Amino acid sequence: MSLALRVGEESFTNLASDIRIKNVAEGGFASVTFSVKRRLEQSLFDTFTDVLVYDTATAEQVGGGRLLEQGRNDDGTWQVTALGEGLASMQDITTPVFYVDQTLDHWYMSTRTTKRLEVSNTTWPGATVDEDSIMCEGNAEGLPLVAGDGLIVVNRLAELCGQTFGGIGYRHKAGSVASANWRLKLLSYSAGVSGVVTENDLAWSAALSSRIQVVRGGALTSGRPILGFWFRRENTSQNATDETYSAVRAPTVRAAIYGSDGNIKNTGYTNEYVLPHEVITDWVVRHCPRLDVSNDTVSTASTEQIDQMAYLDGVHGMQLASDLREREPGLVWQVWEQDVDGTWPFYYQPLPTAVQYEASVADGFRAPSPSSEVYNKVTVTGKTPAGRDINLTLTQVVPSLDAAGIVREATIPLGSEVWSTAAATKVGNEFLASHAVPPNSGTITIARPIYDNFSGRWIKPCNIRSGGLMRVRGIQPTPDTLNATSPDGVTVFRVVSATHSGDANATVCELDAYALNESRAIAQLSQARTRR
Amino acid sequence: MPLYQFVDEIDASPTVLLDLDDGSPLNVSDGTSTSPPRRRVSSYGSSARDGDVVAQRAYADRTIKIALDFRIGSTAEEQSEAIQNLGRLLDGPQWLLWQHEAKTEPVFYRTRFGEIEVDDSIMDDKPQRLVTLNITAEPFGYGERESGSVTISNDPTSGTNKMCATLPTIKGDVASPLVLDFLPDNLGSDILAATLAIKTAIAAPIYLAKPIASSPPTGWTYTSSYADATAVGGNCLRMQRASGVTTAGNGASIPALLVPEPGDYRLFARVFGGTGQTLSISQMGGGDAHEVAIDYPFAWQWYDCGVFRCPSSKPRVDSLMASTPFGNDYAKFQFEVTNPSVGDTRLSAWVLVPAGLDAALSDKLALVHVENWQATDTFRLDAISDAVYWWSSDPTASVTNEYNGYAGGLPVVVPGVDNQLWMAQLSAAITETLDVDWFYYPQYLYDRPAAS
Repeated sequence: MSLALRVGEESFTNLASDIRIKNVAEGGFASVTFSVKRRLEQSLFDTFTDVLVYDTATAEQVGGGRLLEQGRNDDGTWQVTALGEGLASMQDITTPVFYVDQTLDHWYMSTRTTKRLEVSNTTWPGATVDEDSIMCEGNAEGLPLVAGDGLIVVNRLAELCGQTFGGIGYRHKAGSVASANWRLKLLSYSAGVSGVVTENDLAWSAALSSRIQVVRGGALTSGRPILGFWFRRENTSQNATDETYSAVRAPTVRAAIYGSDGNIKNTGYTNEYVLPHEVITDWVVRHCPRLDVSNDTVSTASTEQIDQMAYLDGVHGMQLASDLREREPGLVWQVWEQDVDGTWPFYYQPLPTAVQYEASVADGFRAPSPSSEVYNKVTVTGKTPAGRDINLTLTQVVPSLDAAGIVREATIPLGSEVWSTAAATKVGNEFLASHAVPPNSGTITIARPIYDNFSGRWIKPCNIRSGGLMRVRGIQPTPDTLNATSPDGVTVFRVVSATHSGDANATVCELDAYALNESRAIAQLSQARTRR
Repeated sequence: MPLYQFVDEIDASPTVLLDLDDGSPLNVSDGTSTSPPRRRVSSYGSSARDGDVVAQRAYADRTIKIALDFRIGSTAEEQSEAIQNLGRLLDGPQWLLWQHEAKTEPVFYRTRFGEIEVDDSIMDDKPQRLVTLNITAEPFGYGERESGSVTISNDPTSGTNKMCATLPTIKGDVASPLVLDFLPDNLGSDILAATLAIKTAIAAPIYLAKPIASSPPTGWTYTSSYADATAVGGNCLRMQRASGVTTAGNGASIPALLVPEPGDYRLFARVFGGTGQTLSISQMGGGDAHEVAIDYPFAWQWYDCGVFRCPSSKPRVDSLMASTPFGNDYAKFQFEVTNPSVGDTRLSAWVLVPAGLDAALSDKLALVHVENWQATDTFRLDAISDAVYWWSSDPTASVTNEYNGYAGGLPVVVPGVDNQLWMAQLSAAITETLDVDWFYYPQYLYDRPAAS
């Protein structure tokens, strides 16, 4: 056999049969399964042990994962399954998390000294834009508001998610009563709403302020899980009038995030958005101790500005990465070989755009091509920061649908967790682009060495890695983003999964899209989550 | 008389547990067969193409059929006792020795279990029975152990076996797993052990001379032939980075190397460097660069630079085209060094180790990590048991040996072709030699000729 199998430090090459290794484009090494001759009364393997598969000629690691299931049978064989360490680690923790949030609902009134001040999430008087704000107003016109009267709204989002705030940005506008005796203070608290610190102190002004940013590494105290706004009257009293109001516009908070060096970053919070690689680096550093992320393995190429990402109902790493992929489909995360120190390097890199593998259909090819995947219209729904329903409709021209006189529309819910206008536009356009033509999906069997342009080697079927582009000779292509419009008998696919059977010494690659089958449909249903 | 005996072990004079043909009371009769085992094949074919592709093949278990009858006049008790012995022996694994009458060398079959058919033909006071045994056994018959020893140096330029030893002619019909014993030594090193079975042995070691200093970039100073007694050949290329320089050190060139056989090789670089340095190496005309972290500060090491196909331009060809001559059998590498601080990097040699040659019948490579090797202990790579372990002649010795698993495949030897053993001690000095005892059991499909 050309594969060697290790479970922990023990070798099982001679005892195992039907070794299958799988890797996927988003995730890297996905699974190792094998049957091993072992009597029922023998002890179980230690769960979570590393399972590693090597090529015996080159000593390269071609598969691996974390031992999760061992099915024992009375016929003296055990069926063992290991899940790729990347997939396993990214699903270990499901927890509430936020990165950047504009939702006004997360600010609520915590205290006030008088009934004569109240707060709501509305537009302010005279606003010419449909934009909600945190508005504090005097509701008892003609009655005095005395020195010391005030109202505090707090945001405990970071505390709920077990994180701390990295920064806040906001603008402010008050009514014409504005004076130095009316104050808007930004407060921060430690856990349990104690240890208050005033981070910023403004006089109310009738002119709309410029963007105020109070960030970690600057004025904001580090490590604070609760923020607050304090609307306050000082020094003298004044009767409330029609103009007694103060509005905090478009407050955007950011979480303090970890960098690839394993420490919380002290810079960068003046951006009122996060970048995809910042999100994924923070998640891996925080929640995946077995994965190793470094500057070399995470690409900072993406400029996609994510301005809303908050999951109060909890999310795990793979779902988070899937949401990132919706915004930034050009980058994908993968975990491959284990390093000598026992950790598994985590890669977040652009998908290759140059052709990597050269193959032919000689060993088997099958390509169902469902046209039901074509759309020319999409509606993206969500909730505004104030919690109101909103949606955005985008269209594209699809010649085949136009010729048939058909309109096909899909709906994508972003909920309040990741809705923003920028997000909706990006997600909608990406969906349309990937559904403009029927997918060029199919499976190809590779049973002989094929040429790999990236390494310059003829690699064995067990070395094929998903995520790369494969040029296949011998098929009539259909035009899509990867293929030329003129049929020339050669077409290019993206390898989305590769399953290698050690017994058959052949790899079956799924191309462009996962094959539609019952077990995959069930898995997708069980993994699906409803966005709030 | 041919010999059919159940014995206790593979040995020139083993203890006989049951003789099937000594007439007391068993005799082997017609209908006996020890045919070679059948094949299991994984092959692919389609109507789109002529011929099949054989992806993998292996031998299935062997079935040995032995027809027995009893000595005329043997008693019912003798016969019962014989059948009982057969039943006990065929219940589990045993060694079955078989030697053809006119031959001098036996083969030993490892039986798994057997079935007994008894045909009671005469049941009076001089009974006669015909017994047929259908025995399932491991595919190959084994010959007696073949062993030897070899000393391999860690230096591609000196020693009798310079990082590679040719094994004597291998006996048997099919590939055999090899056991390697590394004798007690003060090694605390990572080990590379690779076997190559190929029709004609390739000239070994495949060794690239130290790089030639040409034009260093600004801020770098190159000294070719810098004297260093611990370097391969006593001198090396020294690349020094001046303060404040951020560019990589490139421009030094490695001579082109005539590669004896096309295929995949693992490249090892003998480097002396400091923490944080990186060596980036690529083959001209073939694939992306490989980055290697120089993480053993200020000690000469063989650094593993990964797998390359050499020569890069030579395509993989099948049988018809294999003899067509190609030009350019040279591999040419280029490299650069990045150094985060002031200091030097020294390079003295590069070695290519076969890791999947096109023409190889078998190519196995193992990288083993060991630490704190005790001087009383032998470290063994055991391809027969598929295991890697220590064994000690002194059970009271402190157990500080550390072994963290191995990557790759354990060694295999193939009869009928040349077999080479390639070794390197990655973290040891080039003056360290490795004493290796090896042994294997030849494996036969049928019986064995005297000489092989």
